Amino acid sequence: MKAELSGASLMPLLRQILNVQREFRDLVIAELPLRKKTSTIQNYILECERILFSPRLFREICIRLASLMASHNRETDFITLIFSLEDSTLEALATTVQSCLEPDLVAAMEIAVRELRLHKLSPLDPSLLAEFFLAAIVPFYTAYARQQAPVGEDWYRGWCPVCGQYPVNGYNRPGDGRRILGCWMCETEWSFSRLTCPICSSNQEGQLMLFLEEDPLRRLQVCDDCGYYVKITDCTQAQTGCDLQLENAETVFLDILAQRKGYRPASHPHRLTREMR
Amino acid sequence: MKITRREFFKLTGLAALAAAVVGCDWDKDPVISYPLVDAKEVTTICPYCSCGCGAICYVVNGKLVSVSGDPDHPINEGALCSKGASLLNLNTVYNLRTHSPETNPNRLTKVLYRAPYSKVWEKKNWRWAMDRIARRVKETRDATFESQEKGVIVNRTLAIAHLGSAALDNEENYLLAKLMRSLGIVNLDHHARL
Amino acid sequence: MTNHWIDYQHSDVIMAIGVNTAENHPMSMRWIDRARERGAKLISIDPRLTRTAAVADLWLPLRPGTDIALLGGLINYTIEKELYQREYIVNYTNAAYILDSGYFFADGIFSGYAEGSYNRDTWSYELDTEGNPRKDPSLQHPRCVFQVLKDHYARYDAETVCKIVGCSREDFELVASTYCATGAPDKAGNILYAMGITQSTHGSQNVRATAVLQLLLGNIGIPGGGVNAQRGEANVQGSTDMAMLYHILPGYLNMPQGMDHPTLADYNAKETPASSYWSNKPKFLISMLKAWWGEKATPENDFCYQWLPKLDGKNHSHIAIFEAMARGEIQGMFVWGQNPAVGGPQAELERKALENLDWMVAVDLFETETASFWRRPKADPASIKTEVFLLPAAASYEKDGSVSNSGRWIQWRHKAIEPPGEAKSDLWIADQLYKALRYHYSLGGVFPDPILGLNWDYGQGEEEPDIEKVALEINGYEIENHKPLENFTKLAADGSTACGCWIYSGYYNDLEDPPAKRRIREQKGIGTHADWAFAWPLNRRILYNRCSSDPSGKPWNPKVPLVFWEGGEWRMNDVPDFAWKDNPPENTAQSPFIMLPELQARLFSPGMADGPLPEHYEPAESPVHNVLSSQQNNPVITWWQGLGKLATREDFPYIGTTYRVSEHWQSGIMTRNSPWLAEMAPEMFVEISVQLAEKLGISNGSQVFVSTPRGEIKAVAYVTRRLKPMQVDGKLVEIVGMPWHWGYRGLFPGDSANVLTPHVGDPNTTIPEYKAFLCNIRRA
Repeated sequence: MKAELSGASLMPLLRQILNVQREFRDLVIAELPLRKKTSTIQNYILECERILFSPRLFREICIRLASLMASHNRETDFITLIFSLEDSTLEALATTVQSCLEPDLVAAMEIAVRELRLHKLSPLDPSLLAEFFLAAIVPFYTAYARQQAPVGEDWYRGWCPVCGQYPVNGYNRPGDGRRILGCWMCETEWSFSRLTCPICSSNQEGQLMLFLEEDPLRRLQVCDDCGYYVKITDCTQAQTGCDLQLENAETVFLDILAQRKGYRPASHPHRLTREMR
Repeated sequence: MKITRREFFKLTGLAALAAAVVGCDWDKDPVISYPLVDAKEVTTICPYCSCGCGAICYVVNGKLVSVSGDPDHPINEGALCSKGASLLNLNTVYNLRTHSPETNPNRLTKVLYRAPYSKVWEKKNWRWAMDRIARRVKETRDATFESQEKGVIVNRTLAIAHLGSAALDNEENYLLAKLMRSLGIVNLDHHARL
Repeated sequence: MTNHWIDYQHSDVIMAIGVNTAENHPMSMRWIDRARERGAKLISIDPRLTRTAAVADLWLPLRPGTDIALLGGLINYTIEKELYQREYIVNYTNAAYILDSGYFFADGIFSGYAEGSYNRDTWSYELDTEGNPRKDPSLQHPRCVFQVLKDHYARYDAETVCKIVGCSREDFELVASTYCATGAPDKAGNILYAMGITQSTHGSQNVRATAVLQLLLGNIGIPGGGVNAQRGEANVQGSTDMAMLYHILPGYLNMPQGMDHPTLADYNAKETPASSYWSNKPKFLISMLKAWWGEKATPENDFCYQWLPKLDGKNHSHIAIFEAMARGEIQGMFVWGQNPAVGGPQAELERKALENLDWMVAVDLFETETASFWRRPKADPASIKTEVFLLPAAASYEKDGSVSNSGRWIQWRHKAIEPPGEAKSDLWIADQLYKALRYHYSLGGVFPDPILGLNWDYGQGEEEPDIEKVALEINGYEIENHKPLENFTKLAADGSTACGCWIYSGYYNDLEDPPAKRRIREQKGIGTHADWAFAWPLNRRILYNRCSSDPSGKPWNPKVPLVFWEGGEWRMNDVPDFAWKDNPPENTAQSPFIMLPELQARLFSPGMADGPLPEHYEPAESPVHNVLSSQQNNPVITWWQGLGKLATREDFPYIGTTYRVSEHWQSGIMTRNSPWLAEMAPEMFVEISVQLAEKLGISNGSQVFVSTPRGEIKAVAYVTRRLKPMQVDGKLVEIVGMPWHWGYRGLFPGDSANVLTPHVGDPNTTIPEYKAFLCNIRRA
């Protein structure tokens, strides 16, 4: 399958990173359990709530991830940096990300990295550092989401109920074909209308969907009203749904093709949409 | 087109990080030159019983590929019965020999005409058929039109009947109700009477 | 339907009578099962152990055509055991009305009977000095509706009912105690019905009997209640609303009758009641005339009222049309998406009648038996004069348009693909037909005015008509600026508004965001889904919903409040069906039925052709005598000439009944041409009991002939325990059941059950009696 050309070589490392993240997600839940809040969600939960954070666990995740990176490429050395950081720096990193969560997570992390002058402590590129720390902080979000995300049909909007991010991909679930969207950040999944654009809420009746002939079940749902796209995998006839994180990586070819056509992914959070439009 | 790694993190989450570590050059990815297939999803309502179940037609390059239950429809929530699940067949069937999809060979695709006392159907075009039908309707109507009955204006013909149809859309039925009454047709009935 | 599919989830007891809902409306089971998850019970009343009966909590086998006996028994049980909801019936129905002293009922005949029809003068209320009906809210007056009802149904005691119906006393008691318990104010009983109820020589009274029972139990206008007619076709609700019936104009306005309505003034005077919402009728008719004839319709010419054809006081329904055709009185026929050669009663008579036509225009997806009647088996084309045009139509997803489901939801269907070949939408065909007619009449002809004057501008030349223009015309618009009307409350009788079908007004009132196209699911609520499509009238999902609360406005069932009075205002989960604005409960408590002149429901109805109260009669052909009176059949049946001799019990000892299977639809023309479905149910069959099979030496899977005086068919015998002989008044009665989907065209041809059925119908509607006739069966 041609699709493998874009991304297949990443998959072994990607799976390992995911495994680490999910292992730590469970650790975070065990160490920092939360009671389920029942109040009605306005825009999204983390708009007015904070995740629970542990510098110790954060350091441990960083070490695990760093050694993983090093095992794949000796030149990507994050370990030295991590050992040089105080707990207070790690805490500051988390706080900075949270306090400017809304505009753009990757940007927020980059700002945090620069503010804490971490890039001065490491030869690595600041944006790569930001991506690394973001990967390391994800388990705190996924742990939070796992405990607080609404279940069933309580949520029926285009963005993530927990962290407010718009989805970059989703799937039609096995059996009834209901659309499940996933948050690329906190891994929350929720169901949404199949014929509505999650980003701008416009009706997608008869709207364009694109796919490669060799891989007809992985489709781009593009919206000509707002210019964004979402990647959708049709699992209607499958036995199980899909791991949206892995699927996201495996369908990188669709991102390339969508961008070639001038569509954009919607990885910004909900609150910004109006201003951006 | 240049895709930066930073953009890529937004698209693919961890993939960008992994890509940086493993070393992956998206810009040279050959996928960029592959052609894309156009598809669309269009909702419909099942034409069989009156539950009013929703279905989604999946259309690829203008051809119907599947009709499946609309999961968002509040009545059927994605499920369909045996008839609803075979809606595809009204337009498309699978050829028994080649197993490839084709237009249902039993569908009428041309106007068919049977002349009086003839043993066969003949294919005709629409323009000819409409003109001929209009002439026949006019002939019958004009020969049997009743303007008055016992001094009351009645403006009707009892010699033309019209049946149908619960299989037509509201807008179609409305136009027919309007047209047939304007011709003075009163022998007008349909399925609802059966 | 008074309610809608999703609302079934609120029922406590569901009684499916004369409807095999699991088979013929499969998705209903989704919502019945939701109710059952909460502990609701499902009762199936059907001659066969159908797929519905198989999963029901209770199954009562009933002899075809005896529904009134059973429902009358339930009415009697309800009254006798005082299970009725007194406060409900005193306020919301005419139970307290005192009847005219001339009304009586004796030995199966109501007052006013003479020579095959009724003079209904005595089926009326006693009036006080001001001309208002006299009432006795204590329900004690011997001539009040409640007491008359009680006396009438006292004859329907359990023993008599079981004797007629052929069920056991035990089954009857179980059904009665289960269903009639829904008379408790906070319980909802739901009656579902379909053709098992309507296809009878007393079909309308069957329906009335369900309504009377539901009213007594306080089950109308409440969530989970209602009288829910499960209609058989995707848009049979819509085609009825659009008046594809001889006796009405769109929106249920009566067709003008020559003798009664010579002028618009006569029509308005005779057709407009002083009270009820129908007092607005002139607005509806005049707006329709403006939609049809536009600028030509002026106050000076009575808005072209005279351009409407007028009826001659006679029946012009399906059976009557074919009787007239058989007599040679009809020369031309249009038939759109309908197949009477398979679906009509006494099919051979109807097929033969088609030979008398000079021309026929058939419009369909596939070649129907009707269009090819001239080459049916045993016909000689060389002797058939008919000129036939068979026009290829687009399928539902090959065009745009709306359909109305059984719950009155008008839902839009979008065009997904182009029709194959030269197939065209029916809208296009209608538009082209009109244009061709307009051309020929522009050259002259008899009274061309209504045709040439028709307000018809939906598209140029041979392009697809603009369906939005049609939708806007149906919805209604202001003449002055063509702006869509919000809904029918904006209609006027002065010619300033146009509206093609008043009850649909509102369905397309916003061209940017038409309600019929809306697809917003309800997230929290009682399943009303108000922003999903549009339900006529006014997007109201449950009719008569004032009845969901008690006279003081408190919901009978606080768990599912619908429209209720709280904190000095009306609160609502649905569009109220009463004059609620600035009107506290005490002002609305006695007017919950706004379409009736009484503003209250009719337990006793003066409007029927065959009696103000449902009374049991035997079907036209029956193996037994009527136990309840010496009146064997409905006394006002029309015995059509084409019917010929009725089957005798001696020669045709078995009850024949027809029904459908899940894999086929109606006359089968769509499903018999769909390979997946045709393969699943390829062959015509008849079902008989094991006992009958043994008696006649018929083995399962063998070929048999089934016959009636109308004809004979061949089919595969299906010997089954789903049918059992019944004890009817001491006599053992066998039933022969058969689906009616087959004909001589399609992938798998087969004989048509309707060759056997009789040309006889209900006196109110003329719906044929397909469900109960006499037949014989033998080995082939």
